[in-house]
Amino acid sequence: MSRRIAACLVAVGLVAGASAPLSAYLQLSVTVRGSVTPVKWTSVPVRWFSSTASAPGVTSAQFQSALAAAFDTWEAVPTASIAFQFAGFTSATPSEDNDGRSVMGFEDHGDLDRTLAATGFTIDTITGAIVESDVFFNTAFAWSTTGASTAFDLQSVATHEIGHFIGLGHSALGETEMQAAGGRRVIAAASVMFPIAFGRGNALGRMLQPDDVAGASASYPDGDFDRDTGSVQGRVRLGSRGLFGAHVSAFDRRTGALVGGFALNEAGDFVIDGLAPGTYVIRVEPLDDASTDSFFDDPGLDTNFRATFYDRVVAVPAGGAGPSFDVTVTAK
Amino acid sequence: MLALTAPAAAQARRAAAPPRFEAGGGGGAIGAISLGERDANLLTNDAAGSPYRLYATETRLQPAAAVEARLGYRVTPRLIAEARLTVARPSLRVSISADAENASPVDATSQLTEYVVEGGALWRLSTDARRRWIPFVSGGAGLARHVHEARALVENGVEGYAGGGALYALGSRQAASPARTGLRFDVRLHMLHGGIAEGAGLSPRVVATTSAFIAF
Repeated sequence: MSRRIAACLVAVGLVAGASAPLSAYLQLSVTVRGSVTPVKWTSVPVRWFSSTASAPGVTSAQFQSALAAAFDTWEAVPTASIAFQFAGFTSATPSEDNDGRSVMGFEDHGDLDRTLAATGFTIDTITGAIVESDVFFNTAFAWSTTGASTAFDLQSVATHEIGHFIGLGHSALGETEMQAAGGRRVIAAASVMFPIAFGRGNALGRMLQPDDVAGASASYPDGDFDRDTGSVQGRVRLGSRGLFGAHVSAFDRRTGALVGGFALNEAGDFVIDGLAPGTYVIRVEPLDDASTDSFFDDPGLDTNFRATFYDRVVAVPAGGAGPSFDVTVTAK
Repeated sequence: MLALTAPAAAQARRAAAPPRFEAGGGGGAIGAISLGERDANLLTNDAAGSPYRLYATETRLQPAAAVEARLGYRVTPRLIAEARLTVARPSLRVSISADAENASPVDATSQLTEYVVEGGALWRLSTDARRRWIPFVSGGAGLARHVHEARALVENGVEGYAGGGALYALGSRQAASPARTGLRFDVRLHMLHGGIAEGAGLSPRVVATTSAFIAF
């Protein structure tokens, strides 16, 4: 039995409710036999097809090449055991669900004027395994594989969507500003999984950041990942209550790596996994740089508190976690 | 008349064997180490632009009191080979500032226990046993271990030092023999590499100690 869920870039998408399991990263989830279960591929290599459709400025061959490069980027994560296989070109489109093929391709979705691309899934609701995943790239926007300043970089957006393809949700490591015409513009980001894309001509989204690497590795760990990395854990509190949905980030003061996580239950509990052993600065902030429904489907998310630093340096060991700690924030 | 004469009993007093080993202990202070500055940066929405600073950090290992124990072997009248263990409890401090969303600046801290085991040499600048003050120079290297709170993390680095000081002999100086007890005043420049200083290059700090010693 299967069910289709969708995850989008620059649009509504993710599903992770207040009862989501405590995990280091926001993962796309379904309810399986009453419990919320992260979705993931259970066998590799994951086969994918490239649509024969083209778009102005991008041939089908260029499209396939850009997608292959994006898949290679994720496959090259040394601490993750995920692999992909290009299975060929197809005239099928991404919207043709449940055809047994994971299809990447251009599609016209002029009605989605804020959606660059979207990833859909067919899930085995008995096991939570991804059966099929299709990604469309909206031809309502201009695309480029050569860095043209007037178009969105296809490989960058593909890298983001493939993060969803493997089951990752959005990262909140980014800063945005409101635009006069409505919506938000990203100022900066430290994760390709930030829900709002860089602007036209910017190809920085092709490179995975430490947050992305940690997320992929936590979902598909290679043999040494758990042994060689550690985690921080604790609770976010606002007064006497836990604070669900707070964004927590860990900064490696030695390497500059930034990895994010979330308080995933009403007690405010969080875990940030996949950290290199060392000492970290912990920062807590509200989810106010993108629509909260880019992260959670809880409409009552509290974002009315100040960004706060934890006043202790947190040590992360290899293969474990340091003692749990509380970070208390204050209302604005 | 038979005169009996005894051989001149001008036996030279048998000189006491100079002490070969020296043990000492005492305390002092270890100086601060700068462990560098690093910004928490994001990639900007401008491929040609500078990184976007989310906040700034500056890390220091704070000064602390230290205790030390030492064992030496007098190789020559001037040269002593020695081993030393120093233990201190410095605080690691990360000063966080300039947050892009105006989070209040904070000095985040944690308590460490530092163990330094070193081997080195001391060179006396005088062998005049009648002198009460004898200056010296010293140098050596060893291992530095920093243990974080709850032993959550242990970091090992290497450390080298060079310095000098003075020995002060206690007791009578009339006998021309090396002092068997005394005080020792050390000032050393240490250079830490790796371990807690990983990524900060060679990290210098000054250490000053006073100790008592006994030679045997």
